[in-house]
Amino acid sequence: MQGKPYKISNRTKEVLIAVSRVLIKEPHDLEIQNRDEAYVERCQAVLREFPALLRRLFALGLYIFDRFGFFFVCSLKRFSHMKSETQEKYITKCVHSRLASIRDFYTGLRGLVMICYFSHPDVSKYIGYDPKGHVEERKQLRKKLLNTIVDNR
Amino acid sequence: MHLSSIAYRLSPIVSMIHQFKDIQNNTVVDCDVCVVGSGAGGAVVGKELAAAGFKVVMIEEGGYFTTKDFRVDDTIWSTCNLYRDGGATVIFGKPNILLAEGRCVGGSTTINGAMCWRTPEKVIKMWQEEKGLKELSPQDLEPYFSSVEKAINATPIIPEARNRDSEILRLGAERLGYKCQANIRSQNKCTGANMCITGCPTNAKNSTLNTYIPSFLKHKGELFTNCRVQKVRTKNGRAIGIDGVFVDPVTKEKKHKFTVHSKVVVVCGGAIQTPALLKKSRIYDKKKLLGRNLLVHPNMKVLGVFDEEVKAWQGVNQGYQITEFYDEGILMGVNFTSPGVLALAMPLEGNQLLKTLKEEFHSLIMGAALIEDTGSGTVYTGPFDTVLPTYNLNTHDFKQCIRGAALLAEVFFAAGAKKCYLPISGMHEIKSVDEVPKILELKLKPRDLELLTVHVMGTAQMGGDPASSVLNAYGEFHNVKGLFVADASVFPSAIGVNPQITIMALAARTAVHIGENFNRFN
Repeated sequence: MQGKPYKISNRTKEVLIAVSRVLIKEPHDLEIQNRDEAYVERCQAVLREFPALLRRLFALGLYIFDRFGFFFVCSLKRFSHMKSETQEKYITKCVHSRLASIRDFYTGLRGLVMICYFSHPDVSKYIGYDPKGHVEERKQLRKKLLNTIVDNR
Repeated sequence: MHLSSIAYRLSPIVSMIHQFKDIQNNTVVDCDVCVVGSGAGGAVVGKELAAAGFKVVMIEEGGYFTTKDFRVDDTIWSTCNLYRDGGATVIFGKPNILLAEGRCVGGSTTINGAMCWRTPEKVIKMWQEEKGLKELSPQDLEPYFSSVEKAINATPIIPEARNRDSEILRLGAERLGYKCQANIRSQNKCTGANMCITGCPTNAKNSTLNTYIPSFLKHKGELFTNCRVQKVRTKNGRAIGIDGVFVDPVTKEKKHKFTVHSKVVVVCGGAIQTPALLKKSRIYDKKKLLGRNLLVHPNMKVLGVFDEEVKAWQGVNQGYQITEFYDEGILMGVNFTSPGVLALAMPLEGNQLLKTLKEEFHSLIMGAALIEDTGSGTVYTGPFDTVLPTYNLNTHDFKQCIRGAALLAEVFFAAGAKKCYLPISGMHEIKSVDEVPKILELKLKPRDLELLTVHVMGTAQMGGDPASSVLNAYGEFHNVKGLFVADASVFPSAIGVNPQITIMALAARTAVHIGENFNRFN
């Protein structure tokens, strides 16, 4: 029987999207096609590569992060349902938490969010990163150099 | 046995590559030598022995991807297909250290910066005098260095590839009177696409994927990909083969079993996976040193922001290195990584992040201070195939990390930087050189540093004395005949420079030793 690729749950998706919206606020002049779908797909691809145990621990960490916000801020709501200001306050508390494990979890979560968000071509374009054009130019230059060597022979 | 000269950059013989989709059943193979891993160590051992006429099977856990597969505008594709654990391997400790390690054909050479540094003579002499490796001398290693450097065309970068961030580093060093060297890289007319770490898109980097692997296949070596080796089999103190399993690259499902019967096994999985595999196989040295002595060559990233347009993402990756402080264990260089990693290094969030990144992207330089570590960690294994590397920064290395970041910030300011972002909690941003001494005055703990590494070494160290080492001078287990290690695990100490050439030269030496003594394993 053919197995299925790992998929993150809808709840996990919600939390990941909510975190990304707190960490990265988009200016009005930036339009990202399929922002959430593309971002979640990338998160899913990275998490799929995690060792099984780490992946489960991360999912558990995300669940706790989402559900137990009341330890940090005055709200019984899940992180993904909190008001924007409360979410920001919650994140700040995590960054400066006295518990190293909370800070470490947040660092990992931030890493995943940043890598996945900034891989979107629209975001790259917005900040002026155009690897495709540059690589094409370098390929042509290399071709020219290699041809010169052959001609000189 | 002599090292064969290879005409580098051959086209691979695809029929000798067995990928996941080609394997329909449990598979059993007989051969002379089984090589686990296809990176700087595995590819060299495999190719040298195949060229000498031995039947060699090479096994790689990752997939087979070439230049035409690499995606320049999709970092996530690269991290998922070319890196272990999606690029998120963590070495746990104080602080946690992020490890980026290759898992694909070519191993870490597919995703490294192609730096070529020979093992420093002082390190070789120390290995001879303190580690009992009398056979290892600079003279003994010379032909191996020459051979691998020729094979991967280790040469200086061409002028067309130079970029502004490397020139700025050189300028900063010059103004401060620091020694700065142009890097030697494994390349063939590299024009500087600056995408080494996501797989070279111009095919200019001479990773083993482009050099040793095609030559290995040409010499009738067989390469199996997407196969995780689970156990090295031994009988009566001899290595007799391996047990592995083919893993579906999409679903991660373990499918068909793979058994190799061989007379020699060479494990080249890197300094984390090699000891883990051997421990899981219940292979230990007398003193249980296997897995200890994990060295991580910690790396402090510093970002410099300039008034001028630098466009660090264009041009060669790491054109120069500042070697002024090499004797003190600090190397400094610049390299560019994807915007996601840059964003991670910036202490900003919310409205500020995208705005600042857009403003500063073309004037940013990412530099790194590499610290030769004196402490060490341990690789543990656990249930469910868990591998747990641990490492705590000792006081000396901790101070060196902070000093490295301060020195690099000083270089950037000397070159005209208007501000620097530091990987230090509590002092993420400084705006003038006057603030640099404050970095050293801060009351910090190791956990306040953000470290990463791309060079792990030392977990199956060579040595003359079986009581204080795991392997002999040729990388063979002291107490298991025919079981060799040929990767950075064999280093008895930190080497302080990029390890690619050292791994390759020692692997070539191991291959010659196996070839010349093969009757002993028959």
